[in-house]
Amino acid sequence: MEEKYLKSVESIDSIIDTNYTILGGEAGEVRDWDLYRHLFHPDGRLIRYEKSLTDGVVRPQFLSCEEYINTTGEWLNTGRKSAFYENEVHKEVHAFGNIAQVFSTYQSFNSKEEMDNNKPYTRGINSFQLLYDQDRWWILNLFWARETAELPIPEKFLGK
Amino acid sequence: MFHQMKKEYLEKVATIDSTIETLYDCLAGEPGDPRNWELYRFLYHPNSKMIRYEEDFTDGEFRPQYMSPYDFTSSIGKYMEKIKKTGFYEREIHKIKKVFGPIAHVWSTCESFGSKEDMENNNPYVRNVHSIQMAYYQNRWWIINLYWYRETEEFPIPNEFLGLE
Repeated sequence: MEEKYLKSVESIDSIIDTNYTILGGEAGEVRDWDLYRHLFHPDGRLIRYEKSLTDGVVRPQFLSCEEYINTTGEWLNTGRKSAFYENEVHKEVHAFGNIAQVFSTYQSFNSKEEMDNNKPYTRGINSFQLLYDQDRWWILNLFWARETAELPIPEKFLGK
Repeated sequence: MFHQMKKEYLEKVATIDSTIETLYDCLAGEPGDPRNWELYRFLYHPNSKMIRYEEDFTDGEFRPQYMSPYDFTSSIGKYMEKIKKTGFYEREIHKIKKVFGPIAHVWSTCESFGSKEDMENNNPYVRNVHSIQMAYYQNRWWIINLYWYRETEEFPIPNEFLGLE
């Protein structure tokens, strides 16, 4: 197996960092979805607490990794007009035995330059449930909500 | 009648604390005591999962075991109610809550007892840590995923998750 696959799942930090870096790219750049898939347990899920694509009502939207790649992933590959980059501002980790949960604050940018200047167009929080099994970490659940005007991210989750 | 039941159930999911308290309370009882599985399932989102990292029933290997709350109540739940020779009581020892608006996750340590007496004498037969992802919408909290790990000799629960530091 390629070195990057092993490296990406060797620690809690590396699996979460890889989750963010894979999504990053210029407009039209095809992301490494094989590596992304590799991070997730076969039963792993992405749960976005956002507007439903069908009726616009905000509620938890459950997706398998494959469904995410085929929708949001495909849009990042070909639909989105600007670049997209993400980084992590802060994380809180609780781990015991083989399980862990991480509250990770992310920022999203429309270009590398904006990331360098720390000018995100949106932020949010990812709740990860992680498992260490078969000598590697897996993402079991990735559950997130985005920051809004009514709902600013508390300072404590910005590392301040 | 339905309206009344609904109101009583809604009070259970009004806060993160009340939802988790109900989660533990629902399972408690003496051998043969019927549990309120309707209320138990009410705590969960329809797409939620219960995930325990334990030995698989078929080959004894450790791997994550996925169940819906319905699978749980009709197998393990039924066993607790009808077959288990001892009582079952659970008590939360410590909880860490991380909340951002409508989403939350909770790291909840609990201990399990075979009888009320064991609980009074503080004599648990097992302890677990639960990671619980929760969402607030439609004016109530929902459990999205309940994921847990049982304490072993190899991995004793650290003091920080027992509220001892």
